[in-house]
Amino acid sequence: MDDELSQQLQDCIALGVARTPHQNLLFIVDQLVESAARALSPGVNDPYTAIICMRWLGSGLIVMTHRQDPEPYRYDSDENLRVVAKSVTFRDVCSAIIDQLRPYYATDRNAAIQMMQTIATVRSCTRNEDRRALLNEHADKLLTSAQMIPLSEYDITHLRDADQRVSSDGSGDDQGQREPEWTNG
Amino acid sequence: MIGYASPDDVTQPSRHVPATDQAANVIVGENRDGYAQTLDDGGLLEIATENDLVIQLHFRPGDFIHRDQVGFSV
Repeated sequence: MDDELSQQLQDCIALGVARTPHQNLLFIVDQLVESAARALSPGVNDPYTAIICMRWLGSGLIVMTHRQDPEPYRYDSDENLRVVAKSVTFRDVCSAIIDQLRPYYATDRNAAIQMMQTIATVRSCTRNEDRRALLNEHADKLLTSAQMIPLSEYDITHLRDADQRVSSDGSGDDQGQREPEWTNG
Repeated sequence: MIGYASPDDVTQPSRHVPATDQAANVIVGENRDGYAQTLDDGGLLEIATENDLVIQLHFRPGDFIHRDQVGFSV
């Protein structure tokens, strides 16, 4: 490995002290996640701000369901593999939103129900079985973590209904039929 | 920006990624820390093509890079 090549590679990266939205979807996701997490902290206790963040984050995930994950493989004009990049996948963004926020929404009845609705809405927008399975896993984790807080039987039923996988009439998830509910925010 | 195929398609890499134990590692920079704000995709592809290499990246734009952290395998 010669020094000139190392230097050329290093020159392909700009390092800086701050994160920026350039080439970085997760930065924008994290900004809304941070707002939601702060809003749900006991000192602030503003679940409605968190709910608005979750709705917009859900909207972003729905946009991602229209797209395939970016290919990490870059080829030259002769179709030789040249660069293997690390790409941001649907799974990464789901984790950044649903996993990162779990400690917060799992302690708040209204936020937990909103996150369950968001998961169900995103799931209803994709027919990709891997993505649907991933969202089912997140819904299961939400149900499990919500059991750790005292919720009335009524609230637990409400949370399960928001999940939509087994609705009260037994029809289950209606793929692609459900429209997001934009009521405010 | 790369293009997208139709939604929900499953794609497989059309080439195998070379095993990393055959590769030389390159650090991002001596005494350089910070967020990877911009990655020159086109520049990397050009370097790899001109030198007949396959370059694997170990970070994404936006990741925090510590000094002397390995950024590339060549």
